[in-house]
Amino acid sequence: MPREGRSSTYILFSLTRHAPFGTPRSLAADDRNFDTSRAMAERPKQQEFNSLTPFCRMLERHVDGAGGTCSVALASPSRGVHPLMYLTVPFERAWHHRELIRAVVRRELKSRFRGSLLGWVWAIAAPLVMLLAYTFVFSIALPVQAQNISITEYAGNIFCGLIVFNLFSELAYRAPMLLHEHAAFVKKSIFPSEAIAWIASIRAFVYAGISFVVLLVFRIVTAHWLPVTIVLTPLVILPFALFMLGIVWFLMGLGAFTKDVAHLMVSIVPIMMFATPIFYTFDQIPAQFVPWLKLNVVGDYIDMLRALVIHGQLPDLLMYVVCIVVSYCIFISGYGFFMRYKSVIVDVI
Amino acid sequence: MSSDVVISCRNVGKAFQLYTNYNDQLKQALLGFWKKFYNQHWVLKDVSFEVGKGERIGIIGRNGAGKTTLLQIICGITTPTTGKVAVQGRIAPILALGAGFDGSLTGRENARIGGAILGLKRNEVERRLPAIAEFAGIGLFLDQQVKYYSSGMVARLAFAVCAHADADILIIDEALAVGDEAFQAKCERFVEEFARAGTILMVSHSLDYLRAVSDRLLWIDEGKVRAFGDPEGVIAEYRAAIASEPVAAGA
Repeated sequence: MPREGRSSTYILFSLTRHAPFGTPRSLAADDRNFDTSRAMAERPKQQEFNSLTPFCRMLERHVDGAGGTCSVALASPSRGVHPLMYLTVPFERAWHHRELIRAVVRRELKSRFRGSLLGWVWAIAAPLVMLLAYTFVFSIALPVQAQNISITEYAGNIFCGLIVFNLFSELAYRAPMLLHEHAAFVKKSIFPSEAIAWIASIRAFVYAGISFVVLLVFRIVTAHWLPVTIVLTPLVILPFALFMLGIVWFLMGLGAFTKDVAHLMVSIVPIMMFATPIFYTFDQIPAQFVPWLKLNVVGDYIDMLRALVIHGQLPDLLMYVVCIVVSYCIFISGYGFFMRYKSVIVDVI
Repeated sequence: MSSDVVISCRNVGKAFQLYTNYNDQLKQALLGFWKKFYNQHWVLKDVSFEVGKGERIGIIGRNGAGKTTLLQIICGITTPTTGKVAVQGRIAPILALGAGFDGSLTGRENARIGGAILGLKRNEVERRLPAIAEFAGIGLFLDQQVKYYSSGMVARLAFAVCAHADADILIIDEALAVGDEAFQAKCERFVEEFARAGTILMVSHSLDYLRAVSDRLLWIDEGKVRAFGDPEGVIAEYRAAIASEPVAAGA
């Protein structure tokens, strides 16, 4: 990507209702009180900048336009910022933009059913119809040997896998074109483009949540019990959300430069569908392929969700920890990638 | 008017990469390390100026001179290639007609989202909606979808939202020209009152309007600051420069 011409260091910093990012305590401070004496903070000089690690440099260039705010020099060691703070930067930015994210998500959810007569009924009817269709297909029309589990449990397994996978595929398909959709917002208003990822993800998770509730009701009606482990579901959903956010940021950034990414997704996602254990379980796969399939993070999440929701067992702890670490790494690196190229994207869209 | 510096630009330069073919962009991405496939076009060159609190600054210049790019840089939407910009305070920009608006939503909903973009909390926006509605003066159309608005109505709504956003700096880019006389008068009154506490940057091609409203005028010519000072003087220079250019041969 074109990077010529940056001969001198450049800063864009502005201060608004909150003090510069480099002072952690200021984040918690009331938005309206900001210390004007810290206002015109200086950027670290060139030699300090070069001594920072690449990751810090990446965060250093973080510029965001909402309300004229910008975070500067959060990576400079001379400011005494604890390195661990880098891990929470995306959350803090999202919290800062929470009103905006909430407003846009709310209107996106409302507008989906605007102009339709049945409105929210569709949100529930659609997954329900799909679930019943799968039950019918796999029990009556196409009796597949279901390994000593009941048909409804088998359908529940499939549906569980489908909820997660549809979430993944919806975001994977939408992400590359998200910035093009919101081109006017990005170029001509002080809209923080990284918030678009949060908005799209929250919307997808809300729809998935509705399907999940339909699944639970289905299980109660057919199996008359819900395992106690269901309460642990958020512990699996949250890392998955982080994973998806990282993916969305990557795809959004790449898709802004070239629409080939969108076409690539059309090819990749169906292949992913076969590589994830939605319609089968790992036991049905020859042993030499299983380790490769386990590399598929989405598949691992489906496995864990099934264990919690359908079977009432705790998932494998090692797999859980590995998934969390991998998801968090993807989250942070996706964010870093996007923020690093954000200003270039604005010029290119 | 205090003398605090609110906006400070020092040697700001902005370059865009112009590609002749779409394929060149891909070639640049792959082979960029060894060869350059683009033309570097400097839209802003060495722009330096300072704006104090409470000043009303008008910006004039030809089309393509770099005014909108400069405003984008000040707003933080894009970063300068060289130089430094420092801005102190909350910005409420109107950079393009209806840029932050979603046509399929009503004016009221767009006002809510617009308020959220500018940093207002939801209940603050709710409280101000009647005032915004009154300022915009579009009546019952506030509850109609924005795609049915005329351009003047869009401009009025956008300005109404920015006016009530508790901003320290108001940046208006050529978007208010579509308002009618009554609205222009309303804007002028608002700008006067706003300038007691806040700063305003306005881009306009209506030189008389700027002469009446601004304290200082910034003339951007081909990416450079050609003049920055008293409105009368700058307008005279600007008009002289335009008059002395050869008239383009046209139909």
